[in-house]
Amino acid sequence: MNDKLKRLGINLPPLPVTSVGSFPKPGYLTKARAEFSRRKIGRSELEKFEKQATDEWLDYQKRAKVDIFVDGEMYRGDMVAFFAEIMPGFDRGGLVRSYGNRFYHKPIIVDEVSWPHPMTVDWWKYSQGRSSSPVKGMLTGPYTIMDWSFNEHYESRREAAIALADCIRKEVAALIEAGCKIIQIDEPAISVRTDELDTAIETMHRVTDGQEAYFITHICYGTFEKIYPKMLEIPVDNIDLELSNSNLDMLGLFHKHPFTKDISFGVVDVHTHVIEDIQTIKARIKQALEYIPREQLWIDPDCGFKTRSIEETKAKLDNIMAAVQDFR
Amino acid sequence: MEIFSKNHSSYPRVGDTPDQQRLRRAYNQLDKKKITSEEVAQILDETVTEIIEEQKASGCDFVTDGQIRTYDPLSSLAAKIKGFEITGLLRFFDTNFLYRQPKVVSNLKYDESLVADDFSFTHKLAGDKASAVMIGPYSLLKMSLTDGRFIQEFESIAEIYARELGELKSHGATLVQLDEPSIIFNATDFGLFQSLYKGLKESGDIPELLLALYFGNATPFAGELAKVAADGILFDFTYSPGLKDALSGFDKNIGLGILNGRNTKMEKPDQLIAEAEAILSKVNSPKAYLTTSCGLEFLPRGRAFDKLKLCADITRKLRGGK
Repeated sequence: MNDKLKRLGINLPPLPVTSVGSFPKPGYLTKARAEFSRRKIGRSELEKFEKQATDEWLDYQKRAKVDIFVDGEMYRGDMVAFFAEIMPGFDRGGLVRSYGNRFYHKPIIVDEVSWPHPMTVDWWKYSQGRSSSPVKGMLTGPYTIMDWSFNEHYESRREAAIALADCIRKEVAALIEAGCKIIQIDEPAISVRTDELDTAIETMHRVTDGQEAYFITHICYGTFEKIYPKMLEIPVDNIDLELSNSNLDMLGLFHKHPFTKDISFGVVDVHTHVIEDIQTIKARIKQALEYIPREQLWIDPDCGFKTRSIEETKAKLDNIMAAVQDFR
Repeated sequence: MEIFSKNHSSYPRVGDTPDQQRLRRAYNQLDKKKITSEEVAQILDETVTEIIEEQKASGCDFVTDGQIRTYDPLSSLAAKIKGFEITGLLRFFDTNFLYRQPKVVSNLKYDESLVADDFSFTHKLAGDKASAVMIGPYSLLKMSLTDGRFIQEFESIAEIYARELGELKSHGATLVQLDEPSIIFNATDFGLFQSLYKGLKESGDIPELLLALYFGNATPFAGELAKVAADGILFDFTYSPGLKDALSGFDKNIGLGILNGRNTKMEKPDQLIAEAEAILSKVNSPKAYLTTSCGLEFLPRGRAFDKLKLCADITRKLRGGK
C-alpha cells in the first residue's frame, strides 16, 4: 500500500504513528458545549472554543512528532449523532447508554436521508491548514450510522445502509476535492453481525470505489474471530484495530490467515487509566512484527481517546512515540 | 391461561430531563471524588423507586429494578463471585453496548449475594409483582474467558446459582428471569445446558424460573428448549421467523417478546394482538408474559415507557378476549 501513498505524494517513516480520532475536550470546551446546549452562547462563540481546542491538539501532535494527525473531533459529541444532526432524514433521539456511565443521543431515521453539503470539509481544511503533516479526514461509515440509529423509515437495514453509503460517498468526494489524501471511515459496528458483513462490504464499496485516497477503516470491541479473514474484503487500504484491550488475542488469527492489508495496530488500551510503559508498548510492537510485515504496520492507540483525561492521553501517546523509535 | 405484561429486564437509567439524570451526575461526581459511594447508593435507591413507579404507571404487571445497579449484565455479577476477574470491553452481542468481559482465574465460589440483597428493596416496592433478573449461569460462563476451564467450572457455577435462587426465594421472589442468550449461538452445548437446569430445578425450593433468549433465532432450537427444566422460556420473536409454528404444543410458561426493544418505531396494537393470539393459539402454556424482545435499556426513556404501556394495554385486551 506504500505505493498508493507515494502516488498520493505522502511519505511516511516506517511504523507510522497516528491516533484513531477523538481526543478529550478541555474543560473550557465542555463548559462551552453545555452553555451552547442551554442556549447561553451562540454557534460562533462555541466554534471559537472548538478551534482553540483543535489548535491545542494539533500543536501537541506536532510537538510529539506524530506522523499522521487527527483534528481530535473537538466539534463532535458522538460519532454518529454528529452526522445525523446535519443530514436531513434524521431526528435527534433520546439518551441511550453505551456502557458504564456513558450515554449518547441515538438518532432516529424518520425519512429519506440525504447529503446536504460537506459536513467535515471545513474542519479538515482548518486543521490541514495548520499542519505540516497529513491530517486524516474522519468519517463514520454508513453501516455504523445505520446500526447505531433507530430506523423508522426504511424497510430494511440494508436499504438504510445503502442510502447512507450514497451520502457518505459524496462526503468522501468533497474531502478529496479539498485535497484530503488519507480518509478514515469508522465502522466499529461491523464486528458483531456476521450475517451482515456482506452488506457492510457492499456499502464500503459504494463509498470508496473509484475514489482516489488512502482509505482506513476503524473497527473495535467486536468478535473479530467471527469476521476474520472475511473482513479483509472490506475495500480499504488499512484496517485500524483495537488489539491491546483484548491482550492482542487476534494475533492468533493472523497466524492462521495472514493479514493482507496495512494495519493500524492498537498498542494502548484507551479504556484504562493505567499508562502503559514504554517497555510494554515495545513488547506489543515486537509481537505485532512477528505476524505483520513491517511495511504494512502502522501504530496507534486502540480507539479514540475521548474518555481519557488530557494528561492520560498525552502520556499514552508520548510513550507510543518513544517506543516506536527503536523500531525505525 | 393467565396472561401478564412484564418489563423484560432493564430500563433506561437516565432520561432526557435533568431530574432523570441524577444518577449519571452522581457517577460523574463519584469519579471526581466529589461525593461518596454511600451518596451514590442513596441515589440508586431513589432511581430504582422512580423507575418502579414509572413501570407501575404504565400499567405493567411485573416490574424489575431496571438492572440499574449494574455496570453491565456480566461484570457486575462476576465481580461478586470468587474466581473471576474483570478484563477488557466487548460488544454485547450485536448491540452498541459494551460490557467488561469476566475471566475465570480460579475455581468459582459463592462469595456474596449476586442480586438477592438488592432484590429485597425492589420487593418492598412492588411485592409479588417484582421480578428478579440476572444473566444466567450458562451465558455468564460462556461469555467469559475461561482458558479451557469451561467444563471444569460448570458445576461450580451451578452451585453458585442454586444458592442464589434459594436466597432470592427467601427474599420473597416469586419469579426469577435468567437471561441465557448465549445458548442459541452454541447449539452443541444443549446437553450441558439441560443438565445445568435440571440440577438447578432439583436444588431445592426455588422461585418460578423464566429463561430469556434474545438477539438470535431460537426457531431451530424450539424442541430442545421445550425440554429444559425451567418453568418458562421468554422468546425474542423479532429475531425468530417461523418460531410460532415451531412452538406448537409448547407447554411451559411462555414469554412473548413481540414488541421490538431495539427500535423506537411503535408497533400497531391490532397487529400485536393478532400476533400474540396466533402464538397463544399454538401453545399449551399455563402462563404467558407479554413483553419486549429484550431489555428496554436500548431505547430512550420516553419510548421505553411507551412500549411498556403498549404492552400493558394489549395484555388487558388479550385478557378480555380470553
